[in-house]
This record gives sequence, structure tokens and C-alpha cells, in this order.
Amino acid sequence: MILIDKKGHLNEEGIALIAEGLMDAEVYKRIPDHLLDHIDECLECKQKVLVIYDIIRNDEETRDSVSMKYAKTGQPQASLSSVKRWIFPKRNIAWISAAALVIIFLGFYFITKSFRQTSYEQLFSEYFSPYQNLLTMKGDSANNGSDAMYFYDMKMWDSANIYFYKAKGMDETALNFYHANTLLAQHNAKEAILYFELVINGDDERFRTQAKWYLALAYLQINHIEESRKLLTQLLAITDVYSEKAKELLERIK
Amino acid sequence: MNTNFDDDKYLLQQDFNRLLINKQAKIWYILTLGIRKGFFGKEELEDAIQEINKKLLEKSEHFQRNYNGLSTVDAYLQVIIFNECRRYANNYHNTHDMKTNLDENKTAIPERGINPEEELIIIDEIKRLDLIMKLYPRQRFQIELFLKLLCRFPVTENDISQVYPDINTMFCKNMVEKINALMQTSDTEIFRVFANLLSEAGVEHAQHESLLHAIKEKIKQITSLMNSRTKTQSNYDQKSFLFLAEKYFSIKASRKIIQFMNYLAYILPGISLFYNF
Repeated sequence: MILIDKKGHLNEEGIALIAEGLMDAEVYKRIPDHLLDHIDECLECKQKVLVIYDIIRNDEETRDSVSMKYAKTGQPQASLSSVKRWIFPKRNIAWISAAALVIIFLGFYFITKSFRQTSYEQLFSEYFSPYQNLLTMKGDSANNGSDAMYFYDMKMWDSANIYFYKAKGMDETALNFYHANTLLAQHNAKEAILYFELVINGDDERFRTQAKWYLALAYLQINHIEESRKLLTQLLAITDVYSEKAKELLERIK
Repeated sequence: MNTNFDDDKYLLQQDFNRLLINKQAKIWYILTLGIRKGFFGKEELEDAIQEINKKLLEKSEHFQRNYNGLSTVDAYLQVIIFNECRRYANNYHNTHDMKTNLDENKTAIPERGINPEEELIIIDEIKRLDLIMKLYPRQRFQIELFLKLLCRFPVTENDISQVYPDINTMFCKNMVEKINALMQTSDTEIFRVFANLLSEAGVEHAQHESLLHAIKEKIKQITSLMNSRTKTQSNYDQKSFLFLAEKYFSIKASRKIIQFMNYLAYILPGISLFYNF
């Protein structure tokens, strides 16, 4: 195989082969020993190789040819790695694999998170129904409180909410309780929690148990499972319709 | 555009004219490169293209005969085109670009305390140095070991055993300790101790002057190769080259740690997320 010219230097193909070897480690491994011996000693050939390397390294067609050539010489592993290196430069492989790992972790995290969110929301929808209106009596004079309860009965939550904010100087505990129900029906659990806590911590005991149940549901809606579980456990001790519901719900959110 | 290796190979043997037509863009590119290197003027481009095409057609049989199929036809042709470009320049302008002058005094470009922009240039230069080191397949380890001695970069047992595999492990360890303790001494002293240690190990009885001379000759060669690059117009002398070599060894030594840290930087937050949710 003639790769040395008459003057004892590398010929055109020898230069081309070593320049390709600098581009691709697989090609470098295949350079015949006598060429490596020569290039090791010859400064002139080194310089020629570097000039050619500078020309061909940015040439997409040459890079492609190198990959194609080694894909056809019966060395699938080598050719595959050449092609891979062409698609993913070697230095980026660490970054790409690390990024892929992060994406997998994040993907897994968000998928499971959204799945759990959906299941808690489903539980909330299943167990939540606004507390029945026990306040409005026929013939009540029109005021903000009764207007709020009117819209509450009609399940027009936005309007009811507006009137609840306006209603003052009336049965405050009851209004807070129904207002909290309205907010919960609007999926505004964070604000509803404030009103339910007012009811629970107030002196009036009429709506305390109910408020605990709805507060547990409010926590469930925003995925605060521990708080929800704590309230449901408290409800278990009370012999009430809510203790049965609490027991059932507790088992389902385990 | 033809990208098939077999197509090129077929055309080289069967239809050289067609191959030449396919490669006109490359001829043009290499000749414009010749203009940038100062081989000839811009106004001569058309003439040069014509002349080179003519020469390539005349020598087509020679090219077909000399091709063994080891390199790609594409790279092979680019070498041929570049050689013809040089011949054209030599015939018409008497330029001798490929001659390297090892005695030329160069002034240093990179110095200590460089700014970030220069740091980027240096990284590019380090890549170039790594490339040049690949062109010393038989002497690379020895050159690197001697350069480390000149840079006062700590040597390892591996550095020594790669060059002198006959030295036993214990002696190698001993050598590393003695050499690394000499960081503040002169080049002559460090090479004198090194030559004595080699002599004690019984692997080489060389004078320290000859070892020092040998590596300085190699530095001249490597700097001339670095300086011949037109892209960066590098201008290394021995001092600035040793500064670059020190950076080269630092990067090589930290490469594994950096890669490991890269992985950790991505994996740890991932794992912590996984356990926290």
C-alpha cells in the first residue's frame, strides 16, 4: 500500500488519512504503524496535516463521508460511534445524558404529582356539596344577608360571594360558614379556610362540627393532606353523620 | 450535493471529470483560503481555478492510481487541490509557505493575569496543542513528561511509567516524590536529578543536558506548528508556550473532576426532587 511518496514523505492519501484521524478517533486507530512512525518524526508532514485538517474539519461533506465510509467497512460499532459523535459532539455527551436524566426525573415528578392532584380533587368533588340553607325563612325582609343566601340557594356563587362580603351586623357565625361554603364551591379554598377557622374558633357552636368537615375538604382541595387527615381524625371521635363520612374519606386518602 | 462515499470512489475511478464538477465548490473554497494565506491576489482567483482544474485533469490517472481507499475521496481530493494551489503559488509568486523556521525569535502573546476573552482564546489554543500532540504518537508521553518538568507541573507515577515501563512501582513512587520536591530549582537542576534517577533505575544513561536539549528542540517544533496557524496568528516563544502547556496540563488533570461535577450538578437536584415530593 503506497502512502509514502518518492521523497519519503506522506503522499496525498497519507496526509488525508491522518487529518481524518485527527477528526475521528476511530479513524486514528486504523492509521497504519509506518505512517504513525513517519508523522512522529516529520515536521513538514505534521504541518501539511494541520493545514488539511483546518480545511476539512469544517466541511460537512467530508465529515459525512468519513462517517459513511466507516459505516460500510463491516465495523458497525465504530461507524455507529462516528455517526453518534457527528450528531452529538463527544464533549456534549455528558451534558446531554445529565440533561436527559433531569428531564426524566422532572417528568416523573410532575406526572405523579398531577396524578395525585387529580385524585384528591376528584375526592373533593365527590364529597363536597354546599351545606343546606337553614337560615332563610319565608317572608324575610330583603337585606344583603338574605340576598346572599338567595343566590347561595340558586348556586350563583359569584353573586352570593358579593352579597356575603356586604352582609354585616347579622348572624356573623352563620354568614361566615355559608360564605366559606360559597368560596369552597368557587374553588377558593385558601380564603374559605380563613372563614371556616373563624367559625371553629368562635363561641357559637352551631356550625363547629360542620365547619371542621368542610375545612378538611378545603385542605384536601389544596393538597394539604396532613391537615385534612388531622381534622378528619378529630371528627371520628364525634358521634355524628360526619364521623362516618370522615372514616370513609380517611381510608380513601391513605 | 454528493455525500456518498461510494459515489465519490466510483467517480474517481470511472468519471474524473464529473467528480471534478462536483468538487468545484471545494476548489473555490481552498483557493480563497490560499488568498487569505497570501499565496496570490484576489484578482487571480479565476485564473487559478482554471489552471488548477487543468492540472487536476492532466494528472487524473496519477490520482486514480495512487488512491488506496484508506482515506475518503473527499479528503484525498482536498489534499490534492491544496497541493496544486501551493504549486500554482510557487510557480507564479515563488512563495514557500510550508517552510518552518525554527530559529525565528517569537514574542509572547499570553501572559499571566489574562482577561476572560483571552482565556477563551487560550482554550482554543489548548485544543490546538492537544491536536499537535496527537501528531507525536510515539513521543507524546515523553514530551508531556519533560514539559511537566519544565512547567514545574506535578508529575505522577503514571507519567513516568508510560515513558519508562521498566521502572518498578516503588522506584517510580520514589522518583515522583523526589522530582515534585524540586519545584523551586532551575531547569538544569531538575533535569540533572531526573537523569540521575533514570540512571539509578537502570533504564537510561542520558546526560541531563541532552534531555534538556531534546525537549527544547521539541518545544521549538511545537511552537512553530502553533505559530503557523493563520486563524489566531499565534506568536509563541518558549516562555509563553510553557505557560500554555501548564494550562493544558491543568485542564487535562481537572477534566475528569469537571465531568463528574457536571453529572452531580444535574443528578443531585433530580434525586432530591424525587425523594421530596
